[in-house]
Amino acid sequence: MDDSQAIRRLKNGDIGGLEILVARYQHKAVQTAYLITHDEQLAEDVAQDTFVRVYQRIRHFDEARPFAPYLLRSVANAALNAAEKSARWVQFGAGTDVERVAELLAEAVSVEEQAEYARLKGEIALALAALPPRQRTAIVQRYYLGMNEKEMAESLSAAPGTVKWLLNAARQHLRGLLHPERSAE
Amino acid sequence: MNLKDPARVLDDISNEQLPPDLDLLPGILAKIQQGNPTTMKPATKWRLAALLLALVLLVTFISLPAVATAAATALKNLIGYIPGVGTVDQAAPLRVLANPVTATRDGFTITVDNAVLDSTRTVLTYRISGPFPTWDDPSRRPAMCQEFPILRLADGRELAYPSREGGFGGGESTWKDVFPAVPAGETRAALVLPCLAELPAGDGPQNWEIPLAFAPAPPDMTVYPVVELPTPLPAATQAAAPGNGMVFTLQGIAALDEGYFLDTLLSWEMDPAMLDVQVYPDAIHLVDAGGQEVSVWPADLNPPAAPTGDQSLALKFQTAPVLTPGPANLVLDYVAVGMAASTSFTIDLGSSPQPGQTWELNKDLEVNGYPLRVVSAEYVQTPPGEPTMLMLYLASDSGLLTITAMDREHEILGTGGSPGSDQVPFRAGWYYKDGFPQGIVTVDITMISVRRAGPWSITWTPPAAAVVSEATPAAFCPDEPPSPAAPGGLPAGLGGRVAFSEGENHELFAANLDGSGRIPLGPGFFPDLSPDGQRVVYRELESGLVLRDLAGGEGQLIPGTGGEGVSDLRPMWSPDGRQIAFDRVANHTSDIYRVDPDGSDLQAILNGPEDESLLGWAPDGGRLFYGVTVADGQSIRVLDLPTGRSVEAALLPFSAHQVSLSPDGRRIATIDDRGIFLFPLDGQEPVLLLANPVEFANPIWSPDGRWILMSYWPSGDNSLRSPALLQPDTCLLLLVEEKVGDWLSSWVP
Repeated sequence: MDDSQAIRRLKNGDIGGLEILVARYQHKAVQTAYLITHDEQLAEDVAQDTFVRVYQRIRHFDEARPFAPYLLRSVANAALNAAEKSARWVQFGAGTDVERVAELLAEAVSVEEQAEYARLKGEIALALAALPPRQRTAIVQRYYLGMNEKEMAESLSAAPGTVKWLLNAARQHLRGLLHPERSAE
Repeated sequence: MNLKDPARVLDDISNEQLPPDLDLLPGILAKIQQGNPTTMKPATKWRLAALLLALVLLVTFISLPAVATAAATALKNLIGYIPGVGTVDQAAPLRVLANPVTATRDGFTITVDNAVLDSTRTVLTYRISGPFPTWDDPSRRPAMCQEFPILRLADGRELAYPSREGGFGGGESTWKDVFPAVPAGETRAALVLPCLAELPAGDGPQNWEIPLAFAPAPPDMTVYPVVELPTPLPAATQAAAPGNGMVFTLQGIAALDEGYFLDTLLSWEMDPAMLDVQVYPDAIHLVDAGGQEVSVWPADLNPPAAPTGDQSLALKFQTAPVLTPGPANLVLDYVAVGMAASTSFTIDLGSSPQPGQTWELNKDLEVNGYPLRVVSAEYVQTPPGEPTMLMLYLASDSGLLTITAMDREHEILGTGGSPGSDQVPFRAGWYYKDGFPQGIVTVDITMISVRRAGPWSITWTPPAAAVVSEATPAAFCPDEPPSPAAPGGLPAGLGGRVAFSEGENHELFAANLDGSGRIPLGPGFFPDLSPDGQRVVYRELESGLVLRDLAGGEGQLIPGTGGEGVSDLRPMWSPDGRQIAFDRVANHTSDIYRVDPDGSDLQAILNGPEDESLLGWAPDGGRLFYGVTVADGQSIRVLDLPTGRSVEAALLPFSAHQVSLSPDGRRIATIDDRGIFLFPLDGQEPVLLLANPVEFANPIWSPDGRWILMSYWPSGDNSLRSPALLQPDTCLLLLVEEKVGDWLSSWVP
């Protein structure tokens, strides 16, 4: 059964259609959310809530269109919202920038040696974690979900120039090495 | 050959952190089954608050009469909660920013979006955007603007040193500043920013003065009433488990559109060994009655550490919706307790330390009984002219969270550090005023913060069940629906033509209800038969709307339908067969259009910002029924075509996906995972016809409105067994042997 058939089942009130879609895309949905939230539990919550929202709004979904991009972009947006909410907490970060993440990704793509690949993955994870949620989302949308700048601009409610900035702003400094231990001063 | 791409790398990274045996379905189904308690009408908020208060009063009077007076006082002391702002005291009228204010200088723009003023404080939120500089190396960032904003009143008095929190991203910084209260009667003030945060001190436009005007809060401003709970609480309502010197109690609750506001208090006895107490965000969890974690986050500024002498720390939280009815547990896993320390060690920096140089130390110390390893030290590079910095990298698995360390033999400008996490190292450091020292330096650890383990928990029963139950009527037909009889023939006199689809390729057919006269139409969706049964319109698989004469001939694309970026769906004939209404999805919105069968007079009927979804024509042809997804569910509306005015006829829950309008336009049949519902469109309560109807889907009304034809889909069997007929007014349920396709779409006489 393909996605469109599952969606038609779901549109017709058959929860089995949702079961198929969840089984097919839950892992990718949680991965997407995790890359943005960096919180396993929050990522699962975000993915669950997005599936619930899909269920609630399925009548508006055109089954002639591909489902996976729709779902995963929704997950990315929900994860950004969740990450920005949780960003009210105290944050500690070493500081990084999107260009650095992009460079590391490019390096990891070309590396042959397993140990070096493992090291680079660790570096990317750390660098990603130190980005603010919106920039993390930009990275995930561009490099994980393969969205183009126009799509990202729509998704992030930002002008295309802002997205370009998000992706290309060289050496965006985020915070100093020494960071206050409280966000509330 | 290397086959990786960036997506694969990110895939690998996330996979390493996530469990392989993921199963989200149970949680998703639980949330769906609970309906959507995340949305409440404004009136419901107050009803819910009243219910909460009534529960509190009831339990209080029953189990602890002595606190009746306190509970009654709580009634008078309702305070409010505004998400993003915090609690507000409504003893005096609230005031807000009269209008958002924007000021621009030298490419930087400050926009003050909101202000909320009560008798206790003033909360301002604003954004700063502009060409903020970037630095190649974070450690080379120069000293930044450190001056606090001021709120200057009309008479020149200044409210200074706000508590604040901010964030920076996307070229914009956002701030929430909390100042003392602006006296009642003051209608104007100025927000004064000596310099802009995220800019180096002295850079960019200085001394901003932004005029603000305040006005009474509008009557419809959303302020959620907080029900203050009497203290102490009876054990029946709350289990405040004392332990390890701490007591965690619930002080107040507010039911929000999405989740709850919880006002809690952590208290402790005086302990001379403690300097202060702080709660870190990762220490708090909310678990519902089903064992599901529910998101919870601070509802206001994260409170700083409370001196031990305060003996309490107020903690306010906002939660996501709690979907499983029953007691939920708010759990505080640990607190950070500050203690004075006095431990020293030395580092030999050599005779010529260089920026960027590191020293491997691996010194094992014991601080107040807590083992600590000083792994290394680093001479952190800073820009020329800036103070130099020595950073220690640390490790501890003994519960040490942070340390404050310094070199007392040299003059220093400040200290800082961070607790260790998966993302950042455990470290501490300080700035030297007069250049980096050389030789042996003595490091003094003067303060530590250690983990004091709980857990401390509050058990609290969210009133979700009360909300959910509002949408669940009693079943009209017997609880146990009659088992469908063995498939048999159609009831006498029942006939007509139907259109449906079959198979994995969405093949469409028109046929008589008894399955005879089957005409294949090709692949597509949503076939709709004309009222005279002579023609059919449907959405062709890849293009637009196609019209076909059932007497013969090929289908013809209706001009103007389909096309790049446009998806036309759900075509429906008008009762006189002269028009076709349909949904058009374009630019991520769904609107309703109409067209004549020959493609002429194509025009939008409804193309507002909402997603409209067509349901059907009224029998007089002068009105259209359509659905719009709103915060509370699906609003079913009736559009009067001559006047263009719409009125709401019913509000369906989100779960009602399959919606079928009766031919007389008076009722809607829907099926969801709870049952088959009838929603009268005259404002009467919905009727649950049959519970547990997971086998049925896709209701279609008979032309005379006496029967509902459904696909019968037995549980656990994905293959269609038979259509089913339900007579809603008698509960008569029949399975029929005639094969009329997987997906019924249209039925005409």
